[in-house]
Amino acid sequence: MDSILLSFIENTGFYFLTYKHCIMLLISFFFLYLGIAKKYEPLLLVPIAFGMVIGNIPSPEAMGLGVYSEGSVFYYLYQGVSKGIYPPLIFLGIGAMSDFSYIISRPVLILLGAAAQAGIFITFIGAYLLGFSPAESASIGIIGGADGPTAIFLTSKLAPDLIGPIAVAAYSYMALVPVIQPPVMNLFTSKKERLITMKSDLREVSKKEKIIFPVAGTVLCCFIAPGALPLLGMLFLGNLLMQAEVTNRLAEAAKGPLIDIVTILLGISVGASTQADVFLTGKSVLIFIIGVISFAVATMCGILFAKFMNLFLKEKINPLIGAAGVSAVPDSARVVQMVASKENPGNYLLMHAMAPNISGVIGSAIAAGVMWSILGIY
Amino acid sequence: MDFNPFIFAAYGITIVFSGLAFLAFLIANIHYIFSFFGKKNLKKKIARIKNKKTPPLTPELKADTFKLILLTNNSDKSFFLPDLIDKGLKRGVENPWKLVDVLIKKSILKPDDTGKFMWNKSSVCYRKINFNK
Repeated sequence: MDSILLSFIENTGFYFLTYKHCIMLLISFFFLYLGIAKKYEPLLLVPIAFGMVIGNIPSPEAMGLGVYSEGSVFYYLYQGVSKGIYPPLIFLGIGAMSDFSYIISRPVLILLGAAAQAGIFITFIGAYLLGFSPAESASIGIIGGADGPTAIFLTSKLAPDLIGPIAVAAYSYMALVPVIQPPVMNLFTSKKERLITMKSDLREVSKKEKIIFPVAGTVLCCFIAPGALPLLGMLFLGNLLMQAEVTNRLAEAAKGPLIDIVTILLGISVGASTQADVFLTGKSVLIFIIGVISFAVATMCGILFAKFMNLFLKEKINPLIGAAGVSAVPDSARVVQMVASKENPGNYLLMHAMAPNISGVIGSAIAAGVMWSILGIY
Repeated sequence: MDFNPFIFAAYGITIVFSGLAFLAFLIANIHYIFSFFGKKNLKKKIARIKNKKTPPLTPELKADTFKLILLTNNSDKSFFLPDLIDKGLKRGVENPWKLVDVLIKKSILKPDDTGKFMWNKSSVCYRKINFNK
């Protein structure tokens, strides 16, 4: 009888509990609070945070329950992350939800999305100089792209050991865009610049252009960076499904049930991968610190490039919209509107900010493709 | 082969920037290509659109505007535009960003001094939309 009781106790989670599990559980509860009570990106943070809870309830190794134990449910769900399957499916849904008419009607704003991606490469240099390998540095730098699926996709190819901390860092900072970006935006713009208004009479975009754009974008961008094919191919396919109007059912499926299901599976898998012994390391802390710097640098690069463009443009653009080149769609654009409204309540920049916001998604995917293509050999 | 992170970063930024710059160039000129292949008077049409006054409120836009009014409980209080747009998206408004732009131009939505917006209940257009339903 005693041996049965002892055997039972030795197979409970309490028996294997360490202080590291407690720390991770507290962190996961904090993320749940941020997601539910504060409503910071709840669609992402809640599954990730709950996955962290699941991943940090200890169990006997022999039962093989975790993401790293072959044969477990979470192991198979995690294959979508480790094999890079979920991110392209999410991009399919994002493409079906996106309206590219903002960048088609004012293509010059695409350059702001491109400029913001410089933050990725600047952070890459910083991470490399701090001792990370080229592949790890690229995976850390992509956090500055503010694109969770892209960060997970690239990390799964280049540095799969770091998926946990990088994914959590990327999604956490995406949720904290309204906190991280405004100080950077205020620092790098003057009051006069923040007051610049932009005309909203944009060129009307024809249906033909909206259909041609995803096809041309796929061909052009993927010829330049074939590594971006899974992400950009799916992004533009989703958009084409919506714009073609003959595939509305598929577009509805992509931007509805499909993206929701994949988001749940991705969130819970990523969260569950942040097991205490894997996550609570000096490397993870460094990744979190570099990640927030990457975010800030990307915001800065977008703003500075907008100011540079103003030297040549007759119709000035408000440099704040450069901050939306960080591809957290549509939060970055909303933050731009919020900061601009504080200076001039009647200044409506949201529509203009959507252009660099969406081009940032394309730019970060190209950057990921370039890094995978070159660094795959290191 | 020694790895130089600075050269790699320079290559990376250049490739990303060049790719997107070329895409921007292509998009900026694609309607001229359409024009070359038989779309007559496209430039005139574009100029007309640029000089055009605010587009009229179609029945679909009026319906979507009424949805937005209901979502704010037809309140006198001001609200943040991004919140209104979010609510509109969740309730099936197709392009809330463009709709809000039209409403601001038509003075159906007006800004207050705090960065928020409110319904301009004295506007004729507002009254037509709100009371005709």
